Amino acid sequence: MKNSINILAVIGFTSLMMVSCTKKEGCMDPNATNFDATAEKDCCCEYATTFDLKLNLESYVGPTALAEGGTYNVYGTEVQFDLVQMYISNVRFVDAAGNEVASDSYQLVKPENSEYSVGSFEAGNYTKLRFDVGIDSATNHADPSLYPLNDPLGPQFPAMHWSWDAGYIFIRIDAKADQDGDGTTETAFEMHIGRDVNLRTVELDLPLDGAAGNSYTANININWLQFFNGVDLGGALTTHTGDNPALTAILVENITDLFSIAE
Amino acid sequence: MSTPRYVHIILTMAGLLGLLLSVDGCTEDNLFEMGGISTLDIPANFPDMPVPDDNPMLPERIELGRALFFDPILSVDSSVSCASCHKPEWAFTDHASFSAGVEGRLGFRNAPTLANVAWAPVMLMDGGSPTLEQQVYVPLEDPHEMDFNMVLLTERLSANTYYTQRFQAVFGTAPDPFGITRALAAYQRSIISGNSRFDRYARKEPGATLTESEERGRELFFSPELSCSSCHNGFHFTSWEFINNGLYTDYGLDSGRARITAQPNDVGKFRVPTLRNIAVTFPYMHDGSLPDLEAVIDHYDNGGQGHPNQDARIKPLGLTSEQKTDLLHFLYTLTDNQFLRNTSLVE
Ligand code: HEC
Ligand code: HEC
Repeated sequence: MKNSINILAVIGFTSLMMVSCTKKEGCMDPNATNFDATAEKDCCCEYATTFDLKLNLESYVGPTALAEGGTYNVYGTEVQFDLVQMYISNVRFVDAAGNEVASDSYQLVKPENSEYSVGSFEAGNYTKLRFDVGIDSATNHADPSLYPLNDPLGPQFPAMHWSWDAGYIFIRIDAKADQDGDGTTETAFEMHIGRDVNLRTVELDLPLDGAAGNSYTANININWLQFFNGVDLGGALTTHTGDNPALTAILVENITDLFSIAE
Repeated sequence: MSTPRYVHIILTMAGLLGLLLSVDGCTEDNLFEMGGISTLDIPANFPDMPVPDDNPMLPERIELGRALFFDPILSVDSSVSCASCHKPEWAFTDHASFSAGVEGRLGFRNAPTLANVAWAPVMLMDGGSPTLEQQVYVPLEDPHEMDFNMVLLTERLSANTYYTQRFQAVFGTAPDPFGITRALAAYQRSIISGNSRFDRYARKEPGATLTESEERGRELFFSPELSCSSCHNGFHFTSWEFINNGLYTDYGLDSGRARITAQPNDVGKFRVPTLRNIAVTFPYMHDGSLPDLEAVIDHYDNGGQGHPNQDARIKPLGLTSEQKTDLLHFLYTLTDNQFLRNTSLVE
């Protein structure tokens, strides 16, 4: 009799073990990054330490939303914007102590797209957003053929890279101006800004208590009217950076004024 | 006896066989034959060829690059090929001061030779492009040359059965910017010239002699008085430096190196050009403004126009007409006829 109880106990223990073995282990906390809805036994949860950021970039000329091909009043001169593109890179958050956390990404900004995923940032309390208009020097002089065609740094049509002075075109505007005021935009011009020295860092006040696991969108307006501030709209409007240093200097000075946090 | 040295060639056959060949002191002109392009005989007096890690000198890459180089499919209206301006029979130059691109459009520089371009530390006369691979974009996208675009070229080649098959065989992918630039660069690295009469004389090969006039010209060229060889030196007759040789007092729209650096003291500086095959690469200078070698020699004899950035070695030489003729005869010995007739470089 004693013997049979022992045997029963062994069987009971074994079956208990078998039950626990068939229970699927996994993270049962829906707030975890590895949440497993089919898990039966809670274990090994992992939690995000970062949040995601999207930029919502809306392009304007003064009060009017910019659409490529449209004609806009630029300080009294009608200008038709055929192509407006710009590189934004090295987006980073700054905390009250001035420390930066960065995400490594390059965005080719076009008026027809407004949403840009710029990656993830360490959770924390931040006061400012910074980013560069342009491409850092090492990447700027690397070979675009090394990137796939759909990558912002890969070859583009229309081209956003100069081969004869190797480097990316940070800002490219192809447009036509009505310089004689007769109602037709007769004067085609190109404003192509590049070269390491013309990279500009934009800083915007953007207080954010960035919680891990969250996604945030920063709404930023780009007002291309500001780009023409101080430009003689009756004069030569074309620059490929090196060939019109005076105009280039004015445009590059204006870069940081293009951006504002949307109300 | 010629002692050409051979670059290490990695030969892959049908993706099955990988062979690493390294032969020194071989006396044959061809190391081995395979599909037309097989050898890279680098003359004994040349340094090793610099080859980027991502673009080994594979025969099938060279061949695909050769097909692209001679194909007008690279230009917007399929009218102009690389060879339109870089003609093999003229050492990969053109006899026009400015070569016609699509719709006959003219650029602002004279097409340079591509001989031994593998050794150029930077591309272009102003050094604006860092590598042979990246340089491909220059003619491709310049409105005065091919006026096309890499994205559009990739699409066009991907719709072409011949090229989709070739790229698949060579790179294992559809045509893409990486393959296009690598193949063209590999082919251009195979454009090697080092068998002029002067080379054979310098290597003391049997029967290689200079005439008395050529010999006097050689002494003038290498003399400290003329100092030609202080700039046009080394195996490729260039120091690769950016120099103002006093062609103009006002360089107009083409500021040379200053176009890239924006530095006033770089105005009028151009990368010292090679003098290999110089007799067939007329007209001369960055803008093709000097029609013949007599005009070039007169330019140096006069001591330049006196630009503020003019190099101090450019000064009046006081050459006699006999000395000028001797110098001219020496320059003629730099022509490599074997290279100009090299059919394996031609599609
Ligand atoms: C319309 C004429 C034209 C065409 C077409 C053309 N080139 Fe050129 N090429 C030139 C000129 C002119 C230069 C000199 C440019 C400079 O130095 O700024 C040049 C320079 C070069 C150089 C630089 C050589 C050096 O020593 O720095 C290379 C390499 C080259 N070309 C390759 C090509 C290839 C490859 C193609 C075809 C994809 C091509 N070229 C098509 C006219 C042409
Ligand atoms: C101080 C450096 C220097 C010296 C010395 C010099 N050259 Fe040059 N040479 C150059 C440069 C730089 C160019 C290109 C200038 C340009 O394109 O505007 C050039 C161009 C040439 C060209 C034309 C090449 C071509 O493909 O267009 C020839 C030929 C030439 N030199 C021969 C000579 C001879 C012969 C001497 C001696 C009498 C000499 N050079 C002395 C720097 C020099």
